[in-house]
Amino acid sequence: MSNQTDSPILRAENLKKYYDTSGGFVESLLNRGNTVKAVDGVSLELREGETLGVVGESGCGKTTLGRSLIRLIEPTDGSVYYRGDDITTISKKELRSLRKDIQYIFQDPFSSLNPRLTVGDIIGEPLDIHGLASGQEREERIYELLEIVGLNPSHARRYPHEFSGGQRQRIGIARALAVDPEVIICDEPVSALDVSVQAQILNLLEDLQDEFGLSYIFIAHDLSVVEHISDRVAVMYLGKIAEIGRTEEVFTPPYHPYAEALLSAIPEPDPLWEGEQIFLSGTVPSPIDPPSGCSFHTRCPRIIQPESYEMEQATWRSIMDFKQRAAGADSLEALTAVNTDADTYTDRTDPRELPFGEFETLVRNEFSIPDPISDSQAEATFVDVLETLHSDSLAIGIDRVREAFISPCEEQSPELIANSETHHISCLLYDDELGSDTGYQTETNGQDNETALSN
Amino acid sequence: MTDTQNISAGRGRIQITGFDPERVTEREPLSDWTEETGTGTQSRWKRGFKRFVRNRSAMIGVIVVSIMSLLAIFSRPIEFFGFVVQPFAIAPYDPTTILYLQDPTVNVYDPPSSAHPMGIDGSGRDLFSRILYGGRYSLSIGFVVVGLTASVGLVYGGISGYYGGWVDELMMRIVDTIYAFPGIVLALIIVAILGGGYWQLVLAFSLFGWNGYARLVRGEVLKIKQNEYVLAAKALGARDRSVIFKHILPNAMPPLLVLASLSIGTVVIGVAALGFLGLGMPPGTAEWGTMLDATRETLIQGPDGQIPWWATIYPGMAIFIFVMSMNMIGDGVNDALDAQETGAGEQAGGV
Ligand code: SF4
Repeated sequence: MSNQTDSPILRAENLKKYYDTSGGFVESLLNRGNTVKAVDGVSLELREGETLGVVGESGCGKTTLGRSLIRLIEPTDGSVYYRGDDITTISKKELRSLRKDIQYIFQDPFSSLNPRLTVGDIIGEPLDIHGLASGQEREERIYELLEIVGLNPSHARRYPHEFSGGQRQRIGIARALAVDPEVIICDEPVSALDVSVQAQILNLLEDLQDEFGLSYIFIAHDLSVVEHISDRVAVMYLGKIAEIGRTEEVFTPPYHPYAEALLSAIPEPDPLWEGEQIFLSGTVPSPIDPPSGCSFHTRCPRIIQPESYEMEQATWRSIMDFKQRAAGADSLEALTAVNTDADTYTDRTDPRELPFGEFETLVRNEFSIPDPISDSQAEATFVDVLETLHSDSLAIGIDRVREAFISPCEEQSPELIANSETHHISCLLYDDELGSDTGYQTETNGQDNETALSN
Repeated sequence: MTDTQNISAGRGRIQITGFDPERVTEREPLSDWTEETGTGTQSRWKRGFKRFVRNRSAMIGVIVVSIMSLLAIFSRPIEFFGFVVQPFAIAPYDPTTILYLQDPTVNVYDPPSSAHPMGIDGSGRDLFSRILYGGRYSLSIGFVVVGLTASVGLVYGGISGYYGGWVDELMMRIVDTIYAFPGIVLALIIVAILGGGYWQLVLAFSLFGWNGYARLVRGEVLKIKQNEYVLAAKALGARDRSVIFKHILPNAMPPLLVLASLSIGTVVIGVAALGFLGLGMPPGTAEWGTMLDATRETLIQGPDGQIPWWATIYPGMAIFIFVMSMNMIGDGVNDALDAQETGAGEQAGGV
């Protein structure tokens, strides 16, 4: 066993799953569809007896990742190795027998159990499929499994609707255990449950791991659940891994800025805890058209400043927000005031007709950009951009904004950079070439950041 | 078992302090649910059946339909290759015998009397016998057609919904095309081409009649496919076939049953309608609609300026009572299986 721990039991290499969004066949004929990159080149390893937590906001592709790992969804590209065999190339028959080794626990305990089958038949299904047991033996195995997950054997003749969410999830776990798997992929197994039940299920999974030497990939949308159960954690953002490492490495600096924001949202059971929560600006971008460079740059509080500028990080973030809004704007009003009060709203005038000074104030207020910006060169550029926007056509103005402020994060995609042997962060801040002078200085002058970050 | 090398130290069971699990297991029960109350567990089918039996109008429908079927079966003896399989004869006369040839006291259009409880029809035949015997045609065509169309629809819709994509697209366009024509018109065309007769009628109503079921089942399958238990079965290594037959189709059955039970009446009316147009069974057959057709002119005025109402009322009543009872049964099935949410109840109705 000891030598097996060195080679991973499950390994994904550059796994990709793209979806075609074309709605009907007419659209696909016309090639109108867009590609959604749900999982975009993920590599990870799972060692024997280990739990790997996968965390990310909904829509970041973590469920797609879990399902492509075992070909419940066919991956578009990349490979998955189970004990050295490439799962993505094996035949349907081999895949079916592989199901005995890798199992899956679903998120929704209500829709994952067939309402027309008894609990006994639900748990017995894998036994029937793989011919593992029949007759009396099957019956006994079902009772045994029910006991393992903390249910009563007399429950075997009941129907799923007679059980609570937590009990149903136990049934789902028993079904997965029936084939005696090596690896279980748990897809948010507790997020549909009451908080009081969550701990019970997590403890059950923990006990089962010790008892049967299982390896888990544990998918969750918040870090607090994963913290307790994982040996290593991978943080996903828009189909890519942002940070991966041992749990304590991910939970302590240096952080990926996204992981840092997620971590700041975990409440501490401490009455003196003051939530210094980092609020991310904007929403998760659509995976149909992910941002260029680092896909997190549209929201990243630590987004890198070009070498020519030197200003407060919060101001730079505001300027980038301004730039993003401008890029998608169809009128100048989108840049001035969204939250005008009701009476001025009714007869809102074209911002172009306002005197320049007033227009400038409106924009600065809207994006909380200080007047003046501490970096004099940036200030001059900013005023110049505003003037273009105010006097020339919108299109020219927008082009001006686009060229005036450019962060390296928009242009360069970060690689996973090793912080230690086990800890990797995908962020340009840690890239030696770029990061050496920008460095992690944000960490040192972080004090003023954290108050200002929550704009 | 586990190697400590890659197991994190900070990990472990979640310890909850200030919370004593013993107290929870030993406290007063929050509800009166105990192991015993739930022992007689019921499947959804059993629960549905119980609810159905309690539904009075549905049960009346079942009784009426059973009586009519029994009467039809036992109206005249049934022979198979010379062997009498069913010797009873409730109907006093053979439905095709022209009575006045043997018994001169009987006249065409004799009103109901004790010897002939429903009177005599325009060709001098005993109406009561003919009504009883006629049930054989209407009822059996109804059940045979619905059985055939529902099975075809189930398989067709199942395949279309499960595989989706191009298969689905093509299969559903065919269904849409059939939908563009009223079912009764299609049946009429087929009977007009093939001529009347029992199996011709069955074919006429079955050939295109499955499309309603196909569409319903496909919709259900699309919905059921979303359920994680289908994915779970695949994750367990189940084959497509077993996923379809174990997980998908059983869950698509309730709305299909509702639609089928409501459609039997519709088919019977369709058969009667063709009969009334003179396109169903050969003239003179004791089929209810054909019987109506034979006495069509008496609706206006019979011989002697008198209207022999019994010649039309009784066959009409037979059709009405049967269809009514079938619809009551269908509604009962619908209520019992909670299928109203599926919209199956609304879909039935038009042929
Ligand atoms: S690369 Fe830039 S935008 Fe992306 S996370 Fe790092 S600092 Fe933020």
